[in-house]
Amino acid sequence: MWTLRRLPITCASILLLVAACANVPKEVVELSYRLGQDLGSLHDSYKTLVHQHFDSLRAQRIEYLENVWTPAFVAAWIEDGHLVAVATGKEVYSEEKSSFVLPTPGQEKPELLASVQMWSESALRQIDKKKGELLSPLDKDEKELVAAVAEAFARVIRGNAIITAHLNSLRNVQEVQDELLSALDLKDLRTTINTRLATASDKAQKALEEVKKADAIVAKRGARLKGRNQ
Amino acid sequence: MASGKGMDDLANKTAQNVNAMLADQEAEVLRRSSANLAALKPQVSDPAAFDKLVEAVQESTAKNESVAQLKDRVVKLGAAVVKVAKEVAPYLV
Repeated sequence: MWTLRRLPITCASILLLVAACANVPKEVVELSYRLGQDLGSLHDSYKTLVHQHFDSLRAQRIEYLENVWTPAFVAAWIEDGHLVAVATGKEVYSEEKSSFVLPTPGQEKPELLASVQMWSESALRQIDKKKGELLSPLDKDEKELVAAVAEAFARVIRGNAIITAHLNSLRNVQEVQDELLSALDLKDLRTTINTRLATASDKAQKALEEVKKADAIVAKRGARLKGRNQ
Repeated sequence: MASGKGMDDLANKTAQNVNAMLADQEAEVLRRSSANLAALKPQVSDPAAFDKLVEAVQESTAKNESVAQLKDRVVKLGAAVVKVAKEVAPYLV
């Protein structure tokens, strides 16, 4: 009994609530969903740009390494590493003594080969070390930037997904409202109210324009009267 | 096979001398080829404020989803609801 007595009030409340809601076209949900997909594509593009930017920075440092530092190092290392003396058989490198010594008679060739090998391996290690010193800060920065961009995009994509879900929920609510209104033979109620609201809004805009026009006329006449009195 | 530790120490000294000799040129190369991380990093909004907004929207979404189930609930109430509502409706428009 309690329920039945209050049914008309409940139904009236529902109707008023549902009829007052604005339209959520399905395209809004679709647009928001597609925006989410496009954001993923934008992220990929941004990542590529970041990599290309860092590749160009790395190229500048590699150019310096290959054309400036390495030639200067090799020239100095030929001198400091006694390469000419070793190559001409005058000296070999002794690991035990950690210095250049005269070759052992009968062992000239193997000692020469070992010395040249040590010389070239040491040179390559220094060049590799220098390359690391020049490039590792860039690699670290690139990693940091890619992570920051990924985090920002993840947040935006997540935010958009939440908005899409919310819009979709509004759509679901609207569908239920429409079905309820239809069941009550009031299918066009929402459209009627929305149309009337839109019309009222247009009328208000026109009235506002009229008021503005009237204000302008009053201001003009006032100025004219002021001129006459002076 | 020799490890060349002593030779490496020598090469290391040579590299240090070359570094000192090219210090100015290298500093200029490093300056030109550095990334301005502060300018490149996205300036995103406060994470705490973002999370609060997300929470509020998700709460509202959940409420909407609950409303969306209204139809099933009304159907469960039975045809009487529709009948009474139809009688009331003309007075509402």
